[in-house]
Amino acid sequence: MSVGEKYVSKNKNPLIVDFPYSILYKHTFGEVSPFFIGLKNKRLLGNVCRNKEKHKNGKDLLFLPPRADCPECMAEITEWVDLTDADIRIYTFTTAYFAGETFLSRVPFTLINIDVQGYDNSYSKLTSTLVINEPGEINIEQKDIRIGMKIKPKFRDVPLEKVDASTLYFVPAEK
Amino acid sequence: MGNRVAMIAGGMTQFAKSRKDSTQEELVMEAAKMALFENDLKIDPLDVKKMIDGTIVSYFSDHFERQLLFGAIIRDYIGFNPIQSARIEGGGATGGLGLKAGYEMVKSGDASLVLVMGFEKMSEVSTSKGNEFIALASDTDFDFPVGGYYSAYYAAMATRYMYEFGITEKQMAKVAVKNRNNAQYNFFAQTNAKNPYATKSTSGFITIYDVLKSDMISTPLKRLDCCLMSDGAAVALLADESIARELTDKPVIIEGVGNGTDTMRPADRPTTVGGLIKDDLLLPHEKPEWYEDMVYPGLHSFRAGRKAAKMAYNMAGIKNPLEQIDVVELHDAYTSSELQTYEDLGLARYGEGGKLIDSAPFDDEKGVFKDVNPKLANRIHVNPSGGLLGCMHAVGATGIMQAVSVMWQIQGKIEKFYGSDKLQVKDARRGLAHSHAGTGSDVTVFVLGRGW
Repeated sequence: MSVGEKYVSKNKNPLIVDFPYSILYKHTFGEVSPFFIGLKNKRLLGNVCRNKEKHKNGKDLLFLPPRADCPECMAEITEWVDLTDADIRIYTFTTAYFAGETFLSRVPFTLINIDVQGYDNSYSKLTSTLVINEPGEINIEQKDIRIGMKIKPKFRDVPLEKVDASTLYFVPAEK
Repeated sequence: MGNRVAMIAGGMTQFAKSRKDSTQEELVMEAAKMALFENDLKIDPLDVKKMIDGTIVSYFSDHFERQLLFGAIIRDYIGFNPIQSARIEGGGATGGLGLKAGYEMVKSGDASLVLVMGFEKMSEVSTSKGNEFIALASDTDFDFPVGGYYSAYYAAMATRYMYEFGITEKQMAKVAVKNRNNAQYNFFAQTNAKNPYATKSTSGFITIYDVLKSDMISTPLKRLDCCLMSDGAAVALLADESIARELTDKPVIIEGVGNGTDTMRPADRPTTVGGLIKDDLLLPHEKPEWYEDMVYPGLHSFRAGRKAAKMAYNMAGIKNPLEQIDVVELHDAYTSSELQTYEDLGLARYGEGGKLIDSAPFDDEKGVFKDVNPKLANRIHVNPSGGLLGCMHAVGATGIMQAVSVMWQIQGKIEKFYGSDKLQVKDARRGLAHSHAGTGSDVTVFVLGRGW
């Protein structure tokens, strides 16, 4: 017998009431707003810090998600690069059959981390989604999704005030 | 190094999917009473309470609780005004960081006896809303809006972990079997059918076949690969060593404390070849040639866990954890992350976490381990409490539940508290408690040792 038994509550009739809670935030994307405006314009933008001699791995760093400031050399990052047509691969993936409340109606969906070829990928493995059955695009089965697979960005049509990271998604660029 | 800090008493509630019988402060009181009245303290528990000169309150989510400044309610309800107190929050590592804050209060001399109180009540919203609240502890500009939530983040990391090292779903499933079945001997555990608050349909022993055929949550993680969500509280009493010896015959010394961090977003984890060596994260028993070609940490390893372990081992004088530690309670949020954490803690080489779980005698036909609380590498016990997979994950309480469990192991009091001696590690002298947040953004490690 555990000493815990003597602490078991005798309350069998707790009163449960409803407490609704709803909030609209007016959120700023700050200095990385160009990334989100880029999504609206159907462009995938990252930004690059070229102070490689000051970086831990000695390389230029691509930021995707972008950053306004380099965490390694603390320089302001001003150079945006257009990656819409870059060679992008799957770094890792998962297909979700459950989700948080907002996304529950979308299951199953596939989350990926991307791998932009030609850059060090330390800061650029952006999390996004892969759509495998988009009409007019290459369609594949869930079991065929694989690490290293070539993918390309696509963009949802949404009003500017509704743009967020989900405006961007990817589709297979090879079988 | 001056005074040492000891853990001398602890308490926890029954854990359950829902504890609607009690409010948060009532749950903390349940655990606090147990800490003061059941831990064989040598003077009157209420006199001990009067000696407490600092408290820490740890809880994770303002969204779950729908109450800011909850620390004020807790310390008021338990009766600790007007002494110093702070609320600590650090995602899944909230409990571990709370303990560290309590340790620092004593170590600094600001207090000599500190009660660390952690809790969470996750049941007042639906499970999918709860997952969303937890997902708010990921980057809400970039990761959450694409449908991100924690099981999926860990699943994507598990996919990469399997790809890098050849880990299998069966090895992951074994972790669930070990921890869930351990929990069947822990009276506090949410999945123990003897727990009066347990949901009977999701309680009881499981086999590897149950895990592998449970509902897919996010490939490759299935329902039984994923931790619980719980209501509950846990508290730990920390003392300056000299006070500790006045209050108990069995002080457990905090021999080592470590804390490491990593990026919020998995996207931003370095992929440096030989990064483990370049970041000076080798443990004393490891050889550089093991890891010269290994990308680190990537999405397969938790650099924060390794940093925390290295710091704690250095302070505790641990040269080889597998040889010097008897029992571990680690943050098994997912079966994959327990295997990954074996490696971060240096219990297995990187890439060999699967081999460590395979080292315990397993009955393939029945799909269960041959022993209760199986020994890994014929040496070490991991998550005898049942961990987050079998016992609980009431976020702000979790790290405290783990450390208190390790303390009771060292004190030989498992039967008294768990209600069964099957999980008591014989002659446990030194243990480790590991608390972990985010996708590995914040980790604490405590090394606890017998102080008598």
